[in-house]
Amino acid sequence: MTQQDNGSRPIARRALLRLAAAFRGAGSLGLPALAAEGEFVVADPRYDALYQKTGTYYTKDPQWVSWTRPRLTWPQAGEKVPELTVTIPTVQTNWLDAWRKFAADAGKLGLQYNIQQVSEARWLDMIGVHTHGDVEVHSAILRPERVDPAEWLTSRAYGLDRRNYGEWVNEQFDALIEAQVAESDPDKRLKLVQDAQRILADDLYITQLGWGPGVIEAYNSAAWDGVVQTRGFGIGSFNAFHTFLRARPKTARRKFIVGIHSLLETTSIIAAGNNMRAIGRMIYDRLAYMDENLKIIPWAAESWTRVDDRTWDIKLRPGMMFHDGKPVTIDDLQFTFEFMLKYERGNFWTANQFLRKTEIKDAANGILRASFKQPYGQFESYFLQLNVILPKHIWQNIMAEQGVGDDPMRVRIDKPIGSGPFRFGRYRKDAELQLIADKTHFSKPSVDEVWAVVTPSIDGLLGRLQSGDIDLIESSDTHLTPSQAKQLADSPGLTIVRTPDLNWLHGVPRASNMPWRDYEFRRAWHHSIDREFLVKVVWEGAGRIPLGNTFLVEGNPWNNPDLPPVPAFDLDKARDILKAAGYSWAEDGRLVYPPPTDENFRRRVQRVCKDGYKWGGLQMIG
Amino acid sequence: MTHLAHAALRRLLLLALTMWCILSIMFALFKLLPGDPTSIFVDNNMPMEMIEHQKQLWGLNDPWWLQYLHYIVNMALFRFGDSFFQNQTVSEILAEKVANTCAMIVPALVVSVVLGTVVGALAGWRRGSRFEQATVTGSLLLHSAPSFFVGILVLMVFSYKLGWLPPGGMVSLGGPEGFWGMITSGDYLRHLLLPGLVLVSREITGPILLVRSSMLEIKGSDFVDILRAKGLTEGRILVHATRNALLPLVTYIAVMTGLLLQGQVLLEIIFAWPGIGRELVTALGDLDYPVAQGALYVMALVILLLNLLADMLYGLIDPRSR
Repeated sequence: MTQQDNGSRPIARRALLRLAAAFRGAGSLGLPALAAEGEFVVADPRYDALYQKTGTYYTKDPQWVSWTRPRLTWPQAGEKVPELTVTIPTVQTNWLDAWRKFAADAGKLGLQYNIQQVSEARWLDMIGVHTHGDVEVHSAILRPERVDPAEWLTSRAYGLDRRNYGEWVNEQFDALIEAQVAESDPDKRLKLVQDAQRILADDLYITQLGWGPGVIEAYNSAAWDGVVQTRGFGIGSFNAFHTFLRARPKTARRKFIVGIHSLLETTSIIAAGNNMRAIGRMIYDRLAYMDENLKIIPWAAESWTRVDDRTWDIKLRPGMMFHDGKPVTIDDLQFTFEFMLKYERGNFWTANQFLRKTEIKDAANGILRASFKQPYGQFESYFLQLNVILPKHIWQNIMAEQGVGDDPMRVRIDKPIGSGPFRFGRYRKDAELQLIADKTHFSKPSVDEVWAVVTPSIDGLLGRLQSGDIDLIESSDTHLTPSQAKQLADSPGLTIVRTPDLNWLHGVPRASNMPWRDYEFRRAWHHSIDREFLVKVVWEGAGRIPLGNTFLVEGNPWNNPDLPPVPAFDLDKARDILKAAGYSWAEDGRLVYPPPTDENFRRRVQRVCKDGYKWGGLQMIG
Repeated sequence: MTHLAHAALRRLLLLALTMWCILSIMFALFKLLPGDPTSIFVDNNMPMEMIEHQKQLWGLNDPWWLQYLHYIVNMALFRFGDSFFQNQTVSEILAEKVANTCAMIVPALVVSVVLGTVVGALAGWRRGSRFEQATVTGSLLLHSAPSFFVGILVLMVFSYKLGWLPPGGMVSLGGPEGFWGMITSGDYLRHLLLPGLVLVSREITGPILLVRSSMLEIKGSDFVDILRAKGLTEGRILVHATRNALLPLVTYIAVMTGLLLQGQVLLEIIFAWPGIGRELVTALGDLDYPVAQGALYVMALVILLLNLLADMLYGLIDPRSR
């Protein structure tokens, strides 16, 4: 078992299918038909669980079937490589700029792109059911849980995960992913993770287009000193809030004012989105945290001891108090896990999906024993990072008192009480939030207050920074471009800070479909990507040309530094590879598949993976 | 039943029919909206059964006709349900946001109508003067300037560069609490000045041009000659003439309020004003169907009611229109 996803289904599509059923079949509405029995076959039957048996997905989804069927049909003699579809959300103008260049270059190889722009909601919908076309483009936004290697390696490349958008099924890779999530020894897990990265890079599945964009921020250095740069996060992220604990005021003002563009949608940590969840973890203590170098450090859990590969003892830090004056006890911690296991199906589910039970082992010394359903490799980086301590005296009857049934998302917490370094202060929805430092907290915050001020536009945030109205911009998903940084650099009192980033932008080709099934085609395609253009022009130099095709970029503690280099931009080489692999060009310049009699071509298409690896996914039809 | 009551009943029925059409179109549009709210809200790692459970709780698995029925009945009873994301009822959210939006547009509306009437009446009365030329040219210029551009411009100049006025929000950080506490404070007035100025600069042009052209007609009418013959001062005649020129403005105010509601969406984003426009944009982006539907419903209802009010008022003021 590994951390995996079985998917959700879009309402609009479901409504259409019901409409089709009412009209006696999809064909009557001119809609694509479902797959015939046994039409789609996977090389390894265990992947049937995903393709054949998941709700209304894949072989039970007419749209997926209509896209996939021709792409799994052997090309005829002289057949051109089809137009390659790339779907980009309209808000991602940077992606579009880069892909226009990639498409122009690929045109010189006889490849034709169809770049579609759709709304972000539509894009999410399309990638969710794999109807986005040939290449899925995605960027990384760093959050603490994403420092753990499984987050990306599993979600983007594990054969049984729905978010493996290219449907790549490399059995050796999958075996390593399954092994690493169950490996509780960090050193052994690192080795497994690094081996998995090597296969990912070697089989030329995803392509890292650029590492970045860089984390560039500006802060009011006339008013504050001692900001803390956390690797990958920068100085101003609520996800890595060291600056708000350790910054020192240079003036009489001890309020740290942070501009934030997203709205604070709810004050309940259970129902919160990403931003409020990060703020919530400043109010509720998490069990472990990370330092500025992403090293795991004890937080509310003073220490933890591995009993065996599926059992840990967690020792609570003594002397902690909730913000209403009640002491934090081991009962509160056990209650929190029981509450989460019983009710929670959202934000905390990922962290607790493998937890079997907890028991108080030593109440006097505050020790709780946590037992997991399987050997567990993500105890420190996931379980301790994501879980918080809820006060039992507030939460134990809250569901019944508020009459919300068994849905904790509906619980209303107007003034959260936690034991974290900041108390929840004044709150005006969509406008401002005051966090008051709890000077008795073990982290000893040096600021008195942090204020989050909502400013929905980036121009507004920059203007407020320049005018001294805010001290910095919350940087979980808002970084400055080099141009903006240059503009701000001239403002008196502002200092620009650049932090090494762990971000990336990547493309995921539909490896299970033609033409991507051919390893030689993938190899040539990788050479058609001008990464330098993305990094130097689109990102204005704020990024790095990837050193390897991995999600765990250089600087990430789980990075494999010995990966094969990313194929360099070289159209001549790409052409030579295609030619040697049997491809030819039509009179109009379009690339033509090798002839059906080409045994090497047929073998490569059937194998999908590079020689030496075993393909477990979809097979060609016929 | 009097003629007026009959007309009122007919218009009310028409309003109900229009509202039903709007609600049905809204329902269809939201059903066609791409994207699944669970894809944003529910953790992607969750197994299918849990996602289905969440959809069940939200009623998203009911057949479309049942959802439609629930929707129409609930909307008619002003039961907007709970927000998907905000842990609040939609009514609570909208009440706060509508009040905040009113705190921006009502003062702008009053200033625009009063000042626009005075300037328009004077411009019409002094036909051919430099004042009239400047008024018409200025009005057309202001009317053509996109408010989001003017908004950013005034923010840059008066707030970021000169630092004279606050850069956004309804009150300063840690300012007065509670709606009444806010809007009765001087701090709120300072914050209102820039967005209010931008709104007035655009909205004032309608009353100016309308009253001016109405005044041009009235200026040559017989009753003005009679007033002049009676020996009334020019000022008194102007007051009488203006009162008559106000008739078209009554209906225009309803239209103007609709325009204000549309126009302030961008201004609320630029000036970080937590109103219903910004809420609507956020709700649409988040696929928070209940909030988005509730916000659109309230906006549509307000515009329809204002139009109804204008019709009724027009009937009362001008018996010829009954």
